[in-house]
Amino acid sequence: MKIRLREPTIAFLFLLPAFIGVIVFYYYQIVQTGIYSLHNLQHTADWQTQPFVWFKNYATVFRSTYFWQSLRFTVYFTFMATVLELAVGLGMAMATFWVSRWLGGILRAIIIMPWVIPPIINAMIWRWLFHADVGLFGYILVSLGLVDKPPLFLTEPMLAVHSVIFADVWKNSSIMAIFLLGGLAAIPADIYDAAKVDGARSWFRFRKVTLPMLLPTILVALLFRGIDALRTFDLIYGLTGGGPGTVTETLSSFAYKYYFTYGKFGLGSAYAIVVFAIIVGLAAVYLSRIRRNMRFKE
Amino acid sequence: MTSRLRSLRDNARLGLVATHVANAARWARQHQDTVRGFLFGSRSRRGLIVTVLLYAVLVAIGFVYLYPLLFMLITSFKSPTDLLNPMVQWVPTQWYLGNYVKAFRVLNYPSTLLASILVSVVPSVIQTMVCSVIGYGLARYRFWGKGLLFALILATFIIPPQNTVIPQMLTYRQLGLLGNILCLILPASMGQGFRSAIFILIFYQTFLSLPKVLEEAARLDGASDLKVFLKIAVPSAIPAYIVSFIFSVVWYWNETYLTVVFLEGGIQTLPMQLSKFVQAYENLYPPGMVNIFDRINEAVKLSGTFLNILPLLIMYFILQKWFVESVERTGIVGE
Repeated sequence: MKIRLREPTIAFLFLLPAFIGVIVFYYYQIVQTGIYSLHNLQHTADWQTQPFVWFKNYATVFRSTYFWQSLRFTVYFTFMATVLELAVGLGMAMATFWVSRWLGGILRAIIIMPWVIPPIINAMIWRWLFHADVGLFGYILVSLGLVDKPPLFLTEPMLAVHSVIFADVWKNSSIMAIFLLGGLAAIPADIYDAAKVDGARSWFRFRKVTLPMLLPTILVALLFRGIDALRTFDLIYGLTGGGPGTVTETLSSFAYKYYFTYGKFGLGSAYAIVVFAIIVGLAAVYLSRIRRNMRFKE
Repeated sequence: MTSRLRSLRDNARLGLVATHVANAARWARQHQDTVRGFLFGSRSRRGLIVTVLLYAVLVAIGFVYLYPLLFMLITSFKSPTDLLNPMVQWVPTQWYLGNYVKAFRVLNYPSTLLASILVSVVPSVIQTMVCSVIGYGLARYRFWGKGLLFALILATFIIPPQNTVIPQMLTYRQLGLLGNILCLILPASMGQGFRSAIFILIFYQTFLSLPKVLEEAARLDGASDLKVFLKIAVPSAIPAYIVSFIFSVVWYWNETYLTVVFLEGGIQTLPMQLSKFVQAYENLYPPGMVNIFDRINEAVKLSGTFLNILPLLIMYFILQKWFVESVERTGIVGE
């Protein structure tokens, strides 16, 4: 009886940092960003002394063609990268899971490597590999006789878009594979054995046993990667700088540019709030769709 | 004469071969299922051909996957003459260490490495501890507003950092903390470090899946809640701690956007110094002052890059056994 009485107090003590932290470091900051976005702030964040402009910054955002272009690119990038990463990651996880224990260990060590490379360094590596004159990819394509001269991977719009996706897939398939390996290991072995006894061939086993059992993990991993891809910044900033022109400009890099390059805090904040709304909206739609398949809650 | 003999012998030999082939064919017909099973696999085991194909595909993929890293590593060992020589692609004429010596000096390696370790390990340790406390609180206690708090915490995972970076930066500037490691420690100690939501979720699920019996028994024996947490819950959640710590270190180490904003002018980490590599190089080796072979080149840049990821690779190889086991045991997501 004594324990139950004390419970709320103890719980309060355990969760106090979370209460304070989540308010101070997130929601207060978002409100502050919202306030900035309603003011005309140039190189200053002292909003009390600056003109209040209602939703003028938002109007500027929605009128700008760059915004719509970057939204289109970001959504395309997120979709392509996430789907490809799932495919590659699933392949790597299955392969690691199937081969002998000894080889699986080596494969896991290899798979993880791109993940520990910082995105900004990943960008440097790929900028060098895609380089038109000294780049490895151009060299390989030329020496295979597929093209006469190295393609301009990062300066031709269509190529640049897909080069960026390629670099992202190379790096982030590994984290996808790690998640899926965790999910695969959690599938009880007797289910496989039962399927084997019933005479199910491997493809059938994969489709009817592995995939459904893995689905919750896949859905969460997709959400995780999708949100990450939506706010990708370091990689693209380092690889193309948003170029050629503004073709590979993402929503995140826009906010960054307005903040730190132009010093337009008001407009940058409006961008940030719009991006926030888009991401929350997409995540909410996704979560409500997959809710049935999640084993999240108690 | 001899030619006739030879052709006879050849015929006989051919006949022998034909008999062998026929025998083999008959044997194969008799043991059709066995052979097919051996080559193509059966219900109980994978066939030889499939295995060979699988391994070939694996090796090919592994090679393609590692190609960028291997090429980077090899190029970083090329001397300036090798770099200009188009004949030298894979194997340098000598394993030249000069690039590393230069990159080591340009990066100011000992001090930036120390700064990077400090900036990633300290917040990670704090973040892991605090998140485990929060996860335990959410998993074990029932109270009013728990659902709301949980939702608020999970939502922080969705919120892009650029929404909070400017107000945060301005707050820290007012407090005079900009450029100080406290900018990273403060949020982490409130359970709001980089992607804390996912760690809280990991701990929440881990503690939820642990049996309560032991904890209740200890409580009946008069142990305080804190003691129960430290003596019983924490030791049984070690895998979750390992996973969280490694993820946290890697994310803190790799984060450049926020560390540049918060730490610029104060602490110089490895990735930050690397992004200024060319400029720092030319300060140390002015282009007009040194001979042509000491000008900046790809090999030196790549040595710098490699020095940058080396510590993480070493950490990963030391911890990888526990890491993989822990990932499998905690299930990380969706379990």
